[in-house]
Amino acid sequence: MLKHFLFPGTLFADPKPHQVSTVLGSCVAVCLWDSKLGISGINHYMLPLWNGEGLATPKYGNIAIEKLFDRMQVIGCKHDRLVAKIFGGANVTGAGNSGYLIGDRNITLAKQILSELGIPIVACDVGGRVGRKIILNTDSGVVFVGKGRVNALGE
Amino acid sequence: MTDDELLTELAKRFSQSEKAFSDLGVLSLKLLEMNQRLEASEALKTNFLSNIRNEIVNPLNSIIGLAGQILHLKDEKDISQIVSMICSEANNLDFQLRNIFIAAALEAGDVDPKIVRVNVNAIIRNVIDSFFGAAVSKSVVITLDVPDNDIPILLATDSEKLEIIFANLLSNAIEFSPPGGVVTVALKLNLEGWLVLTVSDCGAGIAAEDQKRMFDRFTQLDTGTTRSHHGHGLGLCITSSLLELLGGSVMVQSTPGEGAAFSVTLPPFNVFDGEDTFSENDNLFFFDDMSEK
Repeated sequence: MLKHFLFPGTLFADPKPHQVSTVLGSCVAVCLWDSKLGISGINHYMLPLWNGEGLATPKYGNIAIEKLFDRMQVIGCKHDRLVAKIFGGANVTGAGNSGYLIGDRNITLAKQILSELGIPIVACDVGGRVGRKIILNTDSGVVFVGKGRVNALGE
Repeated sequence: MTDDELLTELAKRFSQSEKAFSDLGVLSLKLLEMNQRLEASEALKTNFLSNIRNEIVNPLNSIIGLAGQILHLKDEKDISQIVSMICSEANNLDFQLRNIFIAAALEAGDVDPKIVRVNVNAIIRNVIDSFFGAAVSKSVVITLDVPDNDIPILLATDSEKLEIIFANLLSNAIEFSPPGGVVTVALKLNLEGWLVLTVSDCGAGIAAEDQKRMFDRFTQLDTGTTRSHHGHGLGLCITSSLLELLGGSVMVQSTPGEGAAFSVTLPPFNVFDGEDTFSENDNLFFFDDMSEK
Protein backbone atom coordinates (compact mmCIF):
# COMPACT_ATOMS: atom_id res chain seq x y z
CA MET A 1 0.00 0.00 0.00
CA LEU A 2 1.17 3.56 -0.67
CA LYS A 3 2.55 5.31 2.37
CA HIS A 4 2.40 8.94 3.37
CA PHE A 5 3.82 10.74 6.39
CA LEU A 6 1.60 13.64 7.35
CA PHE A 7 3.51 16.72 8.48
CA PRO A 8 2.03 19.10 11.04
CA GLY A 9 -0.05 21.83 9.43
CA THR A 10 -0.82 19.84 6.29
CA LEU A 11 -3.70 17.64 5.22
CA PHE A 12 -4.15 14.56 3.08
CA ALA A 13 -7.04 13.14 1.07
CA ASP A 14 -6.59 10.83 -1.90
CA PRO A 15 -8.93 8.36 -3.62
CA LYS A 16 -6.14 5.75 -3.81
CA PRO A 17 -5.67 3.59 -0.69
CA HIS A 18 -2.86 4.89 1.49
CA GLN A 19 -1.36 4.22 4.85
CA VAL A 20 -1.01 7.64 6.45
CA SER A 21 0.99 8.01 9.63
CA THR A 22 1.52 11.02 11.83
CA VAL A 23 2.69 11.84 15.33
CA LEU A 24 0.63 13.99 17.66
CA GLY A 25 1.46 15.83 20.84
CA SER A 26 -0.95 18.61 21.66
CA CYS A 27 -1.91 18.68 17.98
CA VAL A 28 -5.16 17.08 16.86
CA ALA A 29 -5.81 14.96 13.77
CA VAL A 30 -9.33 14.61 12.42
CA CYS A 31 -9.96 11.65 10.09
CA LEU A 32 -13.01 11.65 7.85
CA TRP A 33 -14.12 8.40 6.22
CA ASP A 34 -16.68 7.66 3.52
CA SER A 35 -17.53 3.99 4.10
CA LYS A 36 -19.23 3.42 0.76
CA LEU A 37 -16.31 4.68 -1.34
CA GLY A 38 -13.66 3.51 1.11
CA ILE A 39 -11.89 6.85 1.04
CA SER A 40 -10.54 8.75 4.03
CA GLY A 41 -8.80 12.02 4.57
CA ILE A 42 -6.87 13.34 7.53
CA ASN A 43 -5.51 16.63 8.82
CA HIS A 44 -3.05 17.57 11.56
CA TYR A 45 -3.53 20.96 13.14
CA MET A 46 -1.51 22.67 15.84
CA LEU A 47 -3.68 25.55 17.06
CA PRO A 48 -7.46 25.89 17.31
CA LEU A 49 -8.24 29.13 15.50
CA TRP A 50 -6.66 31.27 12.82
CA ASN A 51 -6.31 34.76 14.20
CA GLY A 52 -5.57 36.60 10.95
CA GLU A 53 -1.80 36.34 11.35
CA GLY A 54 0.24 35.01 8.45
CA LEU A 55 -1.32 32.69 5.89
CA ALA A 56 -4.63 30.92 6.52
CA THR A 57 -3.05 27.46 6.52
CA PRO A 58 -4.35 24.13 7.93
CA LYS A 59 -2.04 24.72 10.89
CA TYR A 60 -5.24 26.11 12.42
CA GLY A 61 -8.13 23.81 13.33
CA ASN A 62 -11.00 25.83 11.95
CA ILE A 63 -9.24 26.03 8.58
CA ALA A 64 -7.91 22.46 8.63
CA ILE A 65 -11.31 20.83 9.27
CA GLU A 66 -13.17 22.97 6.73
CA LYS A 67 -10.52 22.37 4.07
CA LEU A 68 -10.47 18.61 4.70
CA PHE A 69 -14.27 18.51 4.49
CA ASP A 70 -14.17 20.44 1.19
CA ARG A 71 -11.41 18.24 -0.21
CA MET A 72 -13.35 15.06 0.64
CA GLN A 73 -16.35 16.34 -1.26
CA VAL A 74 -14.17 17.31 -4.23
CA ILE A 75 -12.93 13.70 -4.52
CA GLY A 76 -16.49 12.42 -4.50
CA CYS A 77 -17.38 11.72 -0.86
CA LYS A 78 -20.91 12.47 0.27
CA HIS A 79 -21.57 14.61 3.32
CA ASP A 80 -24.16 12.25 4.84
CA ARG A 81 -21.87 9.21 4.55
CA LEU A 82 -18.93 10.80 6.37
CA VAL A 83 -17.91 9.72 9.84
CA ALA A 84 -15.12 11.19 11.92
CA LYS A 85 -12.41 9.93 14.25
CA ILE A 86 -10.34 12.32 16.33
CA PHE A 87 -6.97 11.82 17.99
CA GLY A 88 -4.36 13.77 19.90
CA GLY A 89 -4.74 16.88 22.02
CA ALA A 90 -2.49 15.68 24.83
CA ASN A 91 -1.22 18.18 27.36
CA VAL A 92 2.34 17.06 26.99
CA THR A 93 4.07 19.89 28.79
CA GLY A 94 1.94 19.48 31.91
CA ALA A 95 -0.41 22.03 33.40
CA GLY A 96 0.63 25.47 32.26
CA ASN A 97 -0.41 28.52 34.22
CA SER A 98 -2.60 29.67 31.36
CA GLY A 99 -5.38 27.55 32.86
CA TYR A 100 -6.81 26.44 29.54
CA LEU A 101 -4.49 24.13 27.66
CA ILE A 102 -3.82 24.01 23.94
CA GLY A 103 -4.55 20.28 23.71
CA ASP A 104 -7.97 20.74 25.32
CA ARG A 105 -8.79 23.70 23.13
CA ASN A 106 -7.84 21.72 20.00
CA ILE A 107 -10.14 18.85 21.05
CA THR A 108 -13.07 21.13 21.90
CA LEU A 109 -12.77 22.83 18.55
CA ALA A 110 -12.84 19.51 16.63
CA LYS A 111 -15.99 18.35 18.46
CA GLN A 112 -17.64 21.72 17.94
CA ILE A 113 -17.01 22.00 14.22
CA LEU A 114 -17.89 18.34 13.55
CA SER A 115 -21.18 18.71 15.37
CA GLU A 116 -21.93 21.89 13.42
CA LEU A 117 -21.27 19.96 10.21
CA GLY A 118 -23.41 17.10 11.51
CA ILE A 119 -20.63 14.52 11.12
CA PRO A 120 -20.79 11.81 13.82
CA ILE A 121 -17.63 11.04 15.81
CA VAL A 122 -17.36 7.23 15.80
CA ALA A 123 -14.03 6.87 17.57
CA CYS A 124 -11.80 9.10 19.55
CA ASP A 125 -8.67 8.86 21.59
CA VAL A 126 -7.83 12.29 22.94
CA GLY A 127 -6.36 14.16 25.88
CA GLY A 128 -4.11 12.71 28.53
CA ARG A 129 -0.49 13.50 29.07
CA VAL A 130 1.33 11.52 26.40
CA GLY A 131 1.80 11.82 22.66
CA ARG A 132 0.36 9.44 20.11
CA LYS A 133 1.45 7.92 16.85
CA ILE A 134 -1.42 7.08 14.55
CA ILE A 135 -1.61 5.09 11.34
CA LEU A 136 -4.69 5.46 9.18
CA ASN A 137 -5.61 2.94 6.50
CA THR A 138 -7.57 5.17 4.19
CA ASP A 139 -9.62 2.42 2.52
CA SER A 140 -10.87 0.65 5.64
CA GLY A 141 -10.89 3.79 7.78
CA VAL A 142 -9.16 1.82 10.53
CA VAL A 143 -6.77 3.79 12.70
CA PHE A 144 -4.00 2.24 14.78
CA VAL A 145 -3.02 4.29 17.80
CA GLY A 146 0.25 3.97 19.66
CA LYS A 147 0.37 5.68 23.02
CA GLY A 148 3.63 7.23 24.05
CA ARG A 149 5.49 6.18 27.12
CA VAL A 150 6.81 9.53 28.23
CA ASN A 151 10.45 9.82 29.21
CA ALA A 152 11.93 13.19 29.91
CA LEU A 153 15.24 13.32 28.06
CA GLY A 154 18.20 12.93 30.31
CA GLU A 155 16.37 10.72 32.76
CA MET B 1 -16.71 30.95 61.31
CA THR B 2 -16.09 34.24 63.04
CA ASP B 3 -17.24 37.55 61.60
CA ASP B 4 -13.67 38.47 60.71
CA GLU B 5 -13.14 35.24 58.81
CA LEU B 6 -16.42 35.79 57.05
CA LEU B 7 -15.39 39.30 56.03
CA THR B 8 -12.00 38.21 54.65
CA GLU B 9 -13.64 35.35 52.78
CA LEU B 10 -16.19 37.75 51.31
CA ALA B 11 -13.47 40.21 50.32
CA LYS B 12 -11.58 37.37 48.66
CA ARG B 13 -14.64 36.26 46.69
CA PHE B 14 -15.34 39.83 45.60
CA SER B 15 -11.82 40.36 44.34
CA GLN B 16 -12.00 37.03 42.51
CA SER B 17 -15.18 37.96 40.71
CA GLU B 18 -13.77 41.39 39.94
CA LYS B 19 -10.76 39.75 38.37
CA ALA B 20 -12.97 37.41 36.37
CA PHE B 21 -14.90 40.42 35.07
CA SER B 22 -11.77 42.27 34.02
CA ASP B 23 -10.40 39.09 32.37
CA LEU B 24 -13.65 38.84 30.43
CA GLY B 25 -13.34 42.47 29.42
CA VAL B 26 -9.82 41.93 28.12
CA LEU B 27 -10.95 38.81 26.27
CA SER B 28 -13.83 40.52 24.50
CA LEU B 29 -11.55 43.40 23.49
CA LYS B 30 -9.14 40.84 22.02
CA LEU B 31 -12.00 39.16 20.17
CA LEU B 32 -13.11 42.50 18.76
CA GLU B 33 -9.60 43.23 17.58
CA MET B 34 -9.23 39.77 16.04
CA ASN B 35 -12.51 40.16 14.23
CA GLN B 36 -11.36 43.45 12.73
CA ARG B 37 -8.14 41.86 11.58
CA LEU B 38 -9.93 38.92 9.96
CA GLU B 39 -12.29 41.30 8.16
CA ALA B 40 -9.33 43.38 6.98
CA SER B 41 -7.54 40.28 5.77
CA GLU B 42 -10.58 39.10 3.82
CA ALA B 43 -10.97 42.53 2.22
CA LEU B 44 -7.30 42.45 1.19
CA LYS B 45 -7.77 39.01 -0.30
CA THR B 46 -10.60 40.37 -2.43
CA ASN B 47 -8.31 43.10 -3.75
CA PHE B 48 -5.50 40.64 -4.26
CA LEU B 49 -5.98 40.03 -7.97
CA SER B 50 -6.00 43.70 -8.82
CA ASN B 51 -2.95 44.22 -6.62
CA ILE B 52 -0.87 41.53 -8.33
CA ARG B 53 -2.00 42.52 -11.82
CA ASN B 54 0.97 44.81 -12.28
CA GLU B 55 3.44 42.26 -10.93
CA ILE B 56 2.40 39.81 -13.63
CA VAL B 57 1.50 42.09 -16.52
CA ASN B 58 4.57 44.37 -16.42
CA PRO B 59 7.27 41.71 -16.77
CA LEU B 60 5.18 39.84 -19.32
CA ASN B 61 4.74 42.99 -21.45
CA SER B 62 8.47 43.67 -21.23
CA ILE B 63 9.26 40.15 -22.38
CA ILE B 64 6.85 40.38 -25.30
CA GLY B 65 8.13 43.82 -26.29
CA LEU B 66 11.81 42.88 -26.03
CA ALA B 67 11.35 39.61 -27.88
CA GLY B 68 9.63 41.56 -30.67
CA GLN B 69 12.64 43.90 -30.91
CA ILE B 70 15.09 41.05 -31.40
CA LEU B 71 13.36 40.18 -34.67
CA HIS B 72 14.61 43.44 -36.19
CA LEU B 73 18.13 43.38 -34.78
CA LYS B 74 21.24 42.11 -36.55
CA ASP B 75 24.08 43.25 -34.30
CA GLU B 76 25.05 40.45 -31.94
CA LYS B 77 25.94 42.82 -29.11
CA ASP B 78 22.52 44.49 -29.17
CA ILE B 79 20.84 41.11 -29.26
CA SER B 80 22.72 39.73 -26.29
CA GLN B 81 21.89 42.88 -24.31
CA ILE B 82 18.20 42.42 -24.99
CA VAL B 83 18.37 38.72 -24.23
CA SER B 84 19.85 39.47 -20.82
CA MET B 85 16.98 41.94 -20.19
CA ILE B 86 14.47 39.26 -21.20
CA CYS B 87 16.20 36.85 -18.85
CA SER B 88 15.95 39.27 -15.97
CA GLU B 89 12.25 39.98 -16.60
CA ALA B 90 11.52 36.26 -16.99
CA ASN B 91 13.27 35.54 -13.69
CA ASN B 92 11.18 38.23 -12.05
CA LEU B 93 7.96 36.78 -13.45
CA ASP B 94 8.99 33.28 -12.41
CA PHE B 95 9.68 34.52 -8.87
CA GLN B 96 6.28 36.24 -8.61
CA LEU B 97 4.37 33.24 -9.94
CA ARG B 98 6.23 30.78 -7.71
CA ASN B 99 5.32 32.93 -4.72
CA ILE B 100 1.66 32.95 -5.61
CA PHE B 101 1.56 29.19 -6.20
CA ILE B 102 3.40 28.34 -3.00
CA ALA B 103 1.08 30.62 -1.01
CA ALA B 104 -1.92 28.79 -2.50
CA ALA B 105 -0.32 25.41 -1.77
CA LEU B 106 0.47 26.41 1.81
CA GLU B 107 -3.11 27.51 2.39
CA ALA B 108 -4.34 24.23 0.91
CA GLY B 109 -2.03 22.23 3.22
CA ASP B 110 -0.31 20.65 0.23
CA VAL B 111 3.29 21.57 1.00
CA ASP B 112 5.48 18.73 2.29
CA PRO B 113 9.17 19.15 2.99
CA LYS B 114 11.40 17.27 0.53
CA ILE B 115 14.60 16.82 2.42
CA VAL B 116 17.98 16.29 0.79
CA ARG B 117 21.51 17.36 1.62
CA VAL B 118 21.71 20.81 0.15
CA ASN B 119 24.72 22.85 -0.92
CA VAL B 120 23.59 26.13 0.61
CA ASN B 121 26.28 28.25 -1.05
CA ALA B 122 25.22 27.11 -4.51
CA ILE B 123 21.55 27.86 -3.84
CA ILE B 124 22.33 31.33 -2.50
CA ARG B 125 24.55 32.08 -5.53
CA ASN B 126 21.86 30.90 -7.97
CA VAL B 127 19.27 33.16 -6.38
CA ILE B 128 21.65 36.12 -6.34
CA ASP B 129 22.35 35.51 -10.05
CA SER B 130 18.65 35.51 -10.86
CA PHE B 131 18.28 38.93 -9.19
CA PHE B 132 21.40 40.34 -10.85
CA GLY B 133 19.40 42.20 -13.49
CA ALA B 134 17.03 43.72 -10.94
CA ALA B 135 19.96 44.85 -8.79
CA VAL B 136 21.86 46.36 -11.73
CA SER B 137 18.83 48.32 -12.91
CA LYS B 138 18.65 49.98 -9.46
CA SER B 139 22.46 50.14 -9.19
CA VAL B 140 22.23 48.13 -6.00
CA VAL B 141 25.34 46.12 -5.14
CA ILE B 142 24.92 42.65 -3.59
CA THR B 143 27.82 41.39 -1.50
CA LEU B 144 28.07 37.80 -0.28
CA ASP B 145 29.85 37.03 2.96
CA VAL B 146 30.65 33.31 3.43
CA PRO B 147 33.05 31.77 5.95
CA ASP B 148 35.10 29.75 3.46
CA ASN B 149 34.51 29.72 -0.27
CA ASP B 150 36.14 26.35 -0.82
CA ILE B 151 34.07 24.47 1.73
CA PRO B 152 30.38 24.93 0.92
CA ILE B 153 27.85 24.76 3.73
CA LEU B 154 25.83 21.52 3.55
CA LEU B 155 22.49 21.21 5.33
CA ALA B 156 19.69 18.65 5.36
CA THR B 157 16.74 20.75 4.26
CA ASP B 158 14.39 21.48 1.35
CA SER B 159 16.32 23.23 -1.42
CA GLU B 160 13.34 24.64 -3.29
CA LYS B 161 11.86 26.15 -0.15
CA LEU B 162 15.17 27.60 0.96
CA GLU B 163 15.39 29.18 -2.48
CA ILE B 164 11.96 30.80 -2.11
CA ILE B 165 12.75 32.01 1.42
CA PHE B 166 16.00 33.63 0.35
CA ALA B 167 14.57 35.02 -2.90
CA ASN B 168 11.86 36.83 -0.95
CA LEU B 169 14.31 38.36 1.51
CA LEU B 170 16.68 39.39 -1.27
CA SER B 171 13.91 40.79 -3.43
CA ASN B 172 12.68 42.90 -0.50
CA ALA B 173 16.18 44.11 0.30
CA ILE B 174 16.72 45.23 -3.31
CA GLU B 175 13.25 46.77 -3.53
CA PHE B 176 13.69 48.83 -0.38
CA SER B 177 17.30 49.85 -1.00
CA PRO B 178 17.96 53.37 -2.26
CA PRO B 179 19.69 53.56 -5.68
CA GLY B 180 23.36 52.83 -5.23
CA GLY B 181 22.72 51.01 -1.95
CA VAL B 182 24.46 47.88 -0.75
CA VAL B 183 22.69 44.61 0.17
CA THR B 184 24.79 42.27 2.28
CA VAL B 185 24.09 38.53 2.40
CA ALA B 186 25.90 36.68 5.17
CA LEU B 187 25.98 32.92 5.53
CA LYS B 188 27.30 30.82 8.38
CA LEU B 189 26.69 27.77 10.56
CA ASN B 190 26.28 28.46 14.28
CA LEU B 191 27.65 26.27 17.06
CA GLU B 192 24.67 23.89 16.97
CA GLY B 193 25.12 23.39 13.24
CA TRP B 194 22.13 25.56 12.30
CA LEU B 195 22.26 27.71 9.21
CA VAL B 196 22.18 31.46 9.91
CA LEU B 197 21.39 33.52 6.83
CA THR B 198 21.28 37.29 7.18
CA VAL B 199 20.14 39.73 4.51
CA SER B 200 20.80 43.38 5.35
CA ASP B 201 19.89 46.49 3.38
CA CYS B 202 20.46 50.18 3.93
CA GLY B 203 16.90 51.28 3.13
CA ALA B 204 14.39 53.23 5.17
CA GLY B 205 14.14 50.60 7.91
CA ILE B 206 11.00 49.43 9.71
CA ALA B 207 9.48 50.99 12.82
CA ALA B 208 9.16 48.66 15.81
CA GLU B 209 5.34 48.79 15.78
CA ASP B 210 5.27 47.62 12.16
CA GLN B 211 7.69 44.74 12.57
CA LYS B 212 5.04 42.22 13.60
CA ARG B 213 2.32 43.40 11.24
CA MET B 214 4.48 43.01 8.14
CA PHE B 215 4.32 39.20 8.42
CA ASP B 216 0.55 39.24 7.85
CA ARG B 217 -0.68 38.22 4.44
CA PHE B 218 -1.28 40.84 1.74
CA THR B 219 0.16 43.49 4.06
CA GLN B 220 2.41 46.22 2.85
CA LEU B 221 3.31 48.92 5.29
CA ASP B 222 2.87 51.54 2.58
CA THR B 223 -0.56 50.92 1.03
CA GLY B 224 -2.99 52.74 -1.21
CA THR B 225 -2.69 53.97 -4.75
CA THR B 226 0.34 56.13 -3.97
CA ARG B 227 2.42 53.24 -2.65
CA SER B 228 5.93 53.51 -3.93
CA HIS B 229 6.94 49.84 -3.80
CA HIS B 230 6.09 46.81 -5.88
CA GLY B 231 4.94 43.49 -4.58
CA HIS B 232 1.86 41.62 -3.47
CA GLY B 233 2.46 41.60 0.27
CA LEU B 234 2.85 37.83 0.40
CA GLY B 235 6.62 37.47 0.58
CA LEU B 236 7.20 37.69 4.30
CA CYS B 237 4.25 35.55 5.32
CA ILE B 238 5.33 32.88 2.83
CA THR B 239 8.82 33.14 4.30
CA SER B 240 7.63 32.62 7.84
CA SER B 241 5.21 29.79 6.93
CA LEU B 242 7.92 27.92 5.02
CA LEU B 243 10.40 28.38 7.83
CA GLU B 244 7.88 27.02 10.29
CA LEU B 245 7.48 23.94 8.10
CA LEU B 246 11.26 23.43 8.09
CA GLY B 247 11.63 24.11 11.81
CA GLY B 248 13.36 27.47 11.39
CA SER B 249 12.53 31.07 12.22
CA VAL B 250 13.07 34.60 10.97
CA MET B 251 13.92 37.69 12.99
CA VAL B 252 14.18 41.31 11.98
CA GLN B 253 16.40 43.98 13.42
CA SER B 254 15.88 47.50 12.24
CA THR B 255 16.23 51.13 13.18
CA PRO B 256 14.17 53.49 11.04
CA GLY B 257 16.50 55.35 8.70
CA GLU B 258 19.31 52.86 9.07
CA GLY B 259 18.12 49.87 7.07
CA ALA B 260 16.91 46.46 8.15
CA ALA B 261 18.52 43.07 8.69
CA PHE B 262 16.47 39.88 8.30
CA SER B 263 18.03 36.88 9.97
CA VAL B 264 16.93 33.33 9.20
CA THR B 265 17.95 30.43 11.41
CA LEU B 266 17.36 26.96 10.01
CA PRO B 267 18.22 23.71 11.79
CA PRO B 268 19.12 20.56 9.88
CA PHE B 269 15.74 18.93 9.22
CA ASN B 270 15.01 16.10 11.56
CA VAL B 271 13.22 13.51 9.43
CA PHE B 272 10.76 11.43 11.38
CA ASP B 273 12.22 8.08 10.50
CA GLY B 274 9.13 6.01 11.14
CA GLU B 275 10.75 4.40 14.17
CA ASP B 276 8.77 4.15 17.35
CA THR B 277 10.21 7.21 19.01
CA PHE B 278 9.33 10.85 18.77
CA SER B 279 10.43 13.90 20.67
CA GLU B 280 8.53 17.09 21.39
CA ASN B 281 9.48 19.83 23.82
CA ASP B 282 12.47 17.83 25.02
CA ASN B 283 10.30 14.83 25.87
CA LEU B 284 11.05 11.56 24.20
CA PHE B 285 8.22 9.17 23.45
CA PHE B 286 8.24 5.48 22.74
CA PHE B 287 5.32 3.85 21.03
CA ASP B 288 4.94 0.19 21.74
CA ASP B 289 1.47 -1.32 21.76
CA MET B 290 -0.71 -0.15 18.94
CA SER B 291 -4.44 -0.44 19.46
CA GLU B 292 -7.11 -0.36 16.82
CA LYS B 293 -9.75 2.39 16.63
